[in-house]
Amino acid sequence: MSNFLAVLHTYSETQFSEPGVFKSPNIDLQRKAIDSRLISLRGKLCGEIFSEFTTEPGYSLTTLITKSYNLDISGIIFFTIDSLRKLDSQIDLHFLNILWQKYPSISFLVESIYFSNTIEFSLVAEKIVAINSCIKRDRSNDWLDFVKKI
Amino acid sequence: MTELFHSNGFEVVLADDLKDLSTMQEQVRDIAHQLLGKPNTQVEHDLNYLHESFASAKEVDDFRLKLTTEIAESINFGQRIYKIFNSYLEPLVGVDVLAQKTPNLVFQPPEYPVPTELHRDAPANSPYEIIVWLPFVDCFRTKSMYLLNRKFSRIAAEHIRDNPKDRPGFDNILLDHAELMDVPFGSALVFWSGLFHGSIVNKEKESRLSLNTRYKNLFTPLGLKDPFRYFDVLKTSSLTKLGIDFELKEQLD
Repeated sequence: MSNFLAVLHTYSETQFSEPGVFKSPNIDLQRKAIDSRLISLRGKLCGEIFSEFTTEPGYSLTTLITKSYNLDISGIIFFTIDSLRKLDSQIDLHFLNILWQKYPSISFLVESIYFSNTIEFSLVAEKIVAINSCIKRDRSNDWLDFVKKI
Repeated sequence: MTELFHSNGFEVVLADDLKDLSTMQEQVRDIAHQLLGKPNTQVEHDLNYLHESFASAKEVDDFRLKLTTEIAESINFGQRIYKIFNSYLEPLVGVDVLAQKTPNLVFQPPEYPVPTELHRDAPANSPYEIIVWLPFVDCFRTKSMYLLNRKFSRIAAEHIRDNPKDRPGFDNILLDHAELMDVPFGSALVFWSGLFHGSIVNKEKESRLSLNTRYKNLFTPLGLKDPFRYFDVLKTSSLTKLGIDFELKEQLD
């Protein structure tokens, strides 16, 4: 059986800004989702990490994940890609790439994203580049000024 | 074409590829009948009278959920619908396209007591988004859906903003100006995410089976709905591919 590392997400009270959904998934629900994914991957859990919403992923996850570097791990299962958001809401692509260099597969359950080869990773990375550029632009004062003018 | 869309915020458009739309209709019927264990007859008839298999609203709900899962797994709706209506959608959305991951399937048998409540998608969805409402049967009168055009959606939104407690006033705008859409099979209703829309109890003798799905340009401003959760990249232009590849190397090297 393959070993997997799970990353659970600690939501803030107000963070789950899903229109029409008022409760963030709690840890028990997240564990159920991870268990279900493990069954389909025929894997078992070898460690659990909690990401914090108050810090950038580089700080909250790197130390914990590096502790697992000496283990034989087939992949990481994130509950959500939100665990890789920086404080400006962009996805930390650089950090994701570091993880990808180390682990053979990465899953994000809420977003139904999974990759285990270079082509799959590239498709996900390309989407992150495009969406990050929109997030950065949408939040900039220059953009807001521009929109007001037109 | 886009003149009408611009003024009204919606348009009923014919499929470029009716053959593939008919194939899709048959696939949906086949999956539905497989779930129900029913033999196939004429496709439009089979779909119009799907309700004859159910004794309660709960059975209808259970069936709709199963059918949604089955067809989402076996039919690539996002890509096919964009191709089927390409000559209309591409000038609106462009060539760098995000498509909703899983379409919403709506099954409204006659007298089914839970129609779609009045709402508009944007906000919270992006106001740079369109909805493609695609019926698998001829939809007319109460079997269809209603919407407020761009002008009256704006008036209704302003009324709510200025008179948040005046629901009767809002309902009057709706009663006076909402339009029930005639959308025959072979066409789709394409509308802007800022329009108020919904449905009423189906008083016709046939069922409505339709789906709705959303598209937006990859680079238009985002709404509150997370694009990673709700959208897949459907396609990008060669130029966009070059640009993203360039940025990717810059960021990862």
